[in-house]
Amino acid sequence: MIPGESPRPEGSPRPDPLQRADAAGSEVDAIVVGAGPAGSAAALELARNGHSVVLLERGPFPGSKNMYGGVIYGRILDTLVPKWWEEAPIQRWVTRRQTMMLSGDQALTIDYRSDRWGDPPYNGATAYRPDFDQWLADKAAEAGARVVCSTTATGLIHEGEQVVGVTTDRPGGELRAKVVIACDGANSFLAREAGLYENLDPANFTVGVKETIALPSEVIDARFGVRGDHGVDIEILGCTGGVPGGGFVYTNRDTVSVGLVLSLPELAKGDKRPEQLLHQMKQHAGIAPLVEGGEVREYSAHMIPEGGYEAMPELIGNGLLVAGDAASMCLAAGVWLEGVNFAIGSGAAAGRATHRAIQRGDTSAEGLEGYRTRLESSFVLSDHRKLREIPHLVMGDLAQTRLPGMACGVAEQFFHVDNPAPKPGLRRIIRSEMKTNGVRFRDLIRESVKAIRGFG
Amino acid sequence: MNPKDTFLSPVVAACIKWVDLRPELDSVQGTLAPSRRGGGFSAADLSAAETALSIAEAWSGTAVLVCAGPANADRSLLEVAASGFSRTVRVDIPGQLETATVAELLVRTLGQTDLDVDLVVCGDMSYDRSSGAVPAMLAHHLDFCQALGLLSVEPVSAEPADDHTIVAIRRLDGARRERIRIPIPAVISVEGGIATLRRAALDASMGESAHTDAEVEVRGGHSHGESDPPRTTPWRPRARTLAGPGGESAFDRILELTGSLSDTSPPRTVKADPSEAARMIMDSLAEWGYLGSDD
Repeated sequence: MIPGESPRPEGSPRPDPLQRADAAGSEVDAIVVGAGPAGSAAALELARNGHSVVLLERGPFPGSKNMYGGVIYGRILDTLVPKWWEEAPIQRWVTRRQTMMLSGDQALTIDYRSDRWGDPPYNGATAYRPDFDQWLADKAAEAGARVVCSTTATGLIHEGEQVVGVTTDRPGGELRAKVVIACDGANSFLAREAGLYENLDPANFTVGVKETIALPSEVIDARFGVRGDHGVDIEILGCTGGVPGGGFVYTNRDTVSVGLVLSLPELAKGDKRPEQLLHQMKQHAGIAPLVEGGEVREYSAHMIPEGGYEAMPELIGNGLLVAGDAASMCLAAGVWLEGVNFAIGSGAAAGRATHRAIQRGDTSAEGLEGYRTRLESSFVLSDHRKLREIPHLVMGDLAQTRLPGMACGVAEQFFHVDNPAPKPGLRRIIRSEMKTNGVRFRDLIRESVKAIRGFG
Repeated sequence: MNPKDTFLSPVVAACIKWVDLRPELDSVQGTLAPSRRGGGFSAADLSAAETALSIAEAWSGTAVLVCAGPANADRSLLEVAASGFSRTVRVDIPGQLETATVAELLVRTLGQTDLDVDLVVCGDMSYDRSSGAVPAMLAHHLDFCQALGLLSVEPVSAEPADDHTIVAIRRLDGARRERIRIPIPAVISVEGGIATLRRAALDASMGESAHTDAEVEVRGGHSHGESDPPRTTPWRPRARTLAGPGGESAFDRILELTGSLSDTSPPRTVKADPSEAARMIMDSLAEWGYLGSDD
């Protein structure tokens, strides 16, 4: 919360979202399109500051159309919902993180666990998005935002260069506001209509596919080495059948989510289908024991904007802000796969910037410029800027296929006991595996330097 | 049930039920567990809602929405109500109840004088019980005419208004149909495919979500926590009663049951051009009794 601002006091009347507001003649102060984490955070901020806000959601309920393949890092929620962990619909708290590299029938895993992440204020958590998104949207509604579901924003309403509302797919579906916040997800139609995306490159998008597999919670505990509400998040490289991307496995209370993230243009080129690649990954010796015997409850797919900083659109227009996946704010930097926290962070910043702009009576692009300032001073843009090279590094051929093969090969030779032959030296093993996997020394150095620079 | 003295503004009630659309089925034990977020209304109930709205429009009447369900149905109920219903009433039914109990509770509300309904439109069956018996029970308790399982509904206006009727098509066995005229007051049930609920206008939808001032009138149903005794066996559709075989000996009865040695037309394969093939199909259908002489 910015200095001088205070939320609506408890017990004070909620703002009427339909009040005919003031001189500008708007029906509401703000329209937020999309009740995902970004949209709900924006609506929550605005409603708490006494503004009339309508939160449009195209699905029948918030979260009904959303999926993700990672972990919710809730620290950003601390300011929005104090002690959120006591009420948020969390499946498991992630206390164990693994990075797994697969090659052929080999698997090399780096495993870290900390039971401290299983106690308040926690670190990351797994959750079902329909539950989590509904919970956050309910927070916005409790604060006074009006959530309107099963309603798609089909376009923007302009007056001159100023965006003054949206059209919807409902009869009589025009709604006017001082500011529209587009949180309509990857491939944002509103941002594109406003001309904020100059070049929408398919290479900046991936397709995420996921199976949710039911297993008894005690089986999950035993297979993943956790207890109670503690859980595991596994990020996987080398499991995508030559298509650039990665995989993931994470635990919910009584289900396991297994999925892949695959480069959109590369997938389109080849003859491989995502469900086939997912099936192959589940057959791998490193994954199969984790999921065998489970019943697939759900298969879902979603487009992910993984282009990072370079792929972001213009974030601000006249009367228009773009946040969350709509602004390509998903961070896909190898070991860091984060989206929900960036969505909440950007949505909250959009809500605060809109509040200030309305207070000042200037909702032009200049008046909304505080949005960018807030993002740049927070983790949202600073992390993206710092890690701007990493998505390309991770999606490159070296990281995708040759490095996992080499790492698994080195591990196999290093741990293999071949008496009466003496143990080979580590340098010899590495040289041999580099040659086998086509890894040139200069490529390794070049990519390593990039990685060190990128990760800071 | 006393007919209304005047029918100046007929009241058409859509009677729907909140059900679990995606219960978890244990395929081994045959038990059903409720899903956490699978509640909603069946396609037949939504079709009934649209039918009620259309009839009320045609008769310049009033459409009211009556729902049997728990409190967490309110959000979805208001979404349906935003399509054009003037009143929304929920009969509070917190748990699973037998069909007859649901019907009795609905009748208590539908029979109240403030509603004063002239026509009740239901879906032909719910997803949870699928007996399709509630509309018939409502008609019995309300002493209304009934016409169930309708495939099309056409409201016919008349002067005076109490002569309004419904002309409907009802499905019969053997792929046949019958056209019927239904006087009001009546209870009708419609199949899910005959109408799609209209989209509510945006301004109506603005009042539909939770935490709004839009209201659902809650009428007494079962007290919370009360429900019919739980079933000890999985729910199964009722078996159809068929006449037993009539043979004197066990052997004769088995022959009759299996159809062995009976005079039947064996299947035959024919090759014919399309018009000839169509004629042969029609001849066969007529021979087997599926087509009347007028068809």
